[in-house]
Amino acid sequence: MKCKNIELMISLHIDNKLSLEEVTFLMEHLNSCEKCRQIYKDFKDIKIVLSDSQKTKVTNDFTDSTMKKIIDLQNKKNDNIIFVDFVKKHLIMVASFVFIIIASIVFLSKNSSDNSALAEYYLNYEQYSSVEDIYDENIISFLLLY
Amino acid sequence: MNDKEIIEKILAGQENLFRHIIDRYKDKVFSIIFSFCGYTSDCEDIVQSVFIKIFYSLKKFKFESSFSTWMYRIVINESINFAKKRNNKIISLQEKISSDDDQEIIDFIKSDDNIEKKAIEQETQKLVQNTLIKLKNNYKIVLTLRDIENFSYEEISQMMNVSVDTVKIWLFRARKKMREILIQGDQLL
Ligand SMILES: [Zn+2]
Repeated sequence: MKCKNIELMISLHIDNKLSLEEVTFLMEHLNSCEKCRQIYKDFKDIKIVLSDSQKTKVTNDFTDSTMKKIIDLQNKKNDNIIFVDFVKKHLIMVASFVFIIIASIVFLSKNSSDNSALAEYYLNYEQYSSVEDIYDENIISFLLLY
Repeated sequence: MNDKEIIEKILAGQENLFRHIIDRYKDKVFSIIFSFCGYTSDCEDIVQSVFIKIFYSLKKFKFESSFSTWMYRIVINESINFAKKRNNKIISLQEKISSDDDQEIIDFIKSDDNIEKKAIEQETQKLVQNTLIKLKNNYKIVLTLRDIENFSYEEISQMMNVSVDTVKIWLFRARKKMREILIQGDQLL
């Protein structure tokens, strides 16, 4: 067997993944091959170093601070939901409110055209009144004649 | 309470119980993410954001696999996403490591032929970390899961969604690569 295949066996062996037969075969090879023996030693050392490492852990208040963030996020989400629910529940109210506003705008703009009619009326009224004035004057002069 | 019971209660509205999940897995999740971010950034912030992601993904958990397997898949995906985002930074970090820390590693190894004996020393973790961070994502993950967190080949295959044979090959290649980096062309080990 080529050394390349032995290397894979070494990796499996340090994880106890070989059968007894395979282990025997591997040991025979390692006895006769220095290169693979070195790899075996190195792989084992790497595994030991790795399993001894990573002593770094999260800080003590990690759980509390993470839960606080989650709860804050949940509250924010709930606030949004409450607003959306409010709009949904009061949809009729909101719709009527919007209707009233639109209706008022339409009414007001209609009104403003009424206003122009009114203005016309006043204008005419002034004319009438001036006619009346003339009429009054006539009456006065008529009375004065007598 | 086991994971399943806790998750069911959380989904039923007892959201505060998520703290038990955090307590149970924080160190393991930290260790996986640590192999990606190492000392380069605030790893704990990333771990925290991953837990928040897990919390908001709970609705999607279908109880088809164990909770931990499902959760580790998220952790692995998030770690890879993190690595992609920080790709440029990691590349520059690698350049930095090649110049400074490899010498450090070499000096460290030179000081004693027996790595095992030195393993307890404070610097070891940093050296391992700096070597680990240079590996491809999948190699980083298998090595962390197997050698640091002691998961079985079967568990790793489920978490990474690959066959057990793939796990065997990846672990072998990861160790080989790790060895190459440590040796750096010099017959030191
Ligand atoms: Zn050989």
